[in-house]
Amino acid sequence: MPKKHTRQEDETLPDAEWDRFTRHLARGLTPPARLTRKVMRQVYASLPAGRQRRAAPLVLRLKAMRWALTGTAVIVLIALGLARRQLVRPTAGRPVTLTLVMPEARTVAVVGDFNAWNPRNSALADPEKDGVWTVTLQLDPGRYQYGFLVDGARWETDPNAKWYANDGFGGRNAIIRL
Amino acid sequence: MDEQVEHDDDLALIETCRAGKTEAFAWLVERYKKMVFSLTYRMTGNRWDAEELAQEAFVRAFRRLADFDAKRRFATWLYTIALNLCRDRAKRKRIAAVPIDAPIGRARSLLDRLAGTAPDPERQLAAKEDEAFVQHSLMGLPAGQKEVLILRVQQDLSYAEIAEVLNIPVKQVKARLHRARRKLRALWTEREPNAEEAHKTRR
Repeated sequence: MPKKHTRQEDETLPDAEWDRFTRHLARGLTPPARLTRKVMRQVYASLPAGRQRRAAPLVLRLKAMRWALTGTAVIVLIALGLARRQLVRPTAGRPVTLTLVMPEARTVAVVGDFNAWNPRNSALADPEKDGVWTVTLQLDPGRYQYGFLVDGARWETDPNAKWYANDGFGGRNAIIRL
Repeated sequence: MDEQVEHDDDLALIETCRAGKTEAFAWLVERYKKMVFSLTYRMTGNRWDAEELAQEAFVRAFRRLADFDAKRRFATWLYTIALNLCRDRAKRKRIAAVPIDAPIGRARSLLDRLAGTAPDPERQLAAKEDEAFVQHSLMGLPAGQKEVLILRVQQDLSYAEIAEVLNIPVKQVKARLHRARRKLRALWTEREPNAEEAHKTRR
């Protein structure tokens, strides 16, 4: 989108500094992936009970569409050879291994607060080909909600989690506390 | 997207919400969440307040959808709501400065996200420096000037749109912008030579 503010009107400022300032400021920032979910949860909570029930199915469809899109993206990435067995890069923090037993799965990714609910760079691996998918994350202390994305489209709740939270769409997110 | 098409789309979604299909509001949130979050982040300087205020802005917009004037752009109406919330928040508490590289999403910092996922130290350093530079510059401005500058540069609004969002005359918008630029120039010429050297060396 072309910027409407012009160089001419800003000529009183040092060029390099103003360029740097406007270029970076204009980039915008990515909000947390959970924002829409949180807004809609509050929106539905403010409705009379009858309308809450009527509204839910379409939201589920919205969610399904999002997962389908992200799932497609995952599959394309795998097809392009960009997916790797262990894609979570170690950073500072404590190692946490997540496991999902899912013999029929072709791909499993973990998505959660720790990776902005983005299935990229979060694939689980099944090196033994025995249906036991694992990934080790390096997480800083905190509380994280997460779930598994199976075959790029299906949402699975971690059955081994100690805690769970309502995901706002009739399902549950697993919770890990460190 | 063409502005008129965007406006018509927004109106259609708003009408759908008003007709009782609340889920249509999720599309409006999806469409504007980046703009609103960017605005609240730049106004507050920290991610936690920004997320909370963005959330509150959307919820308040939903509750007031019946009052929305179809002649207005939904975006500018939303900006007005978000900025009012930012002002209320600023009044209620002195927002403490939060380190620019404070963790976001608990595991990664906002700057890491800005810099992309690749662990390229040079790129990360550049993004951190740019972010610190922008945020520190904004923090040196009074709220009124900051609002105008963000709406102009980040949100790409015209003078008339900014005047509408802030409910002030266009003349005052221009005056505030002028003062903001003058203040920035003063801030930047006072910067430490070391910081400037580092920036020049990197480029």
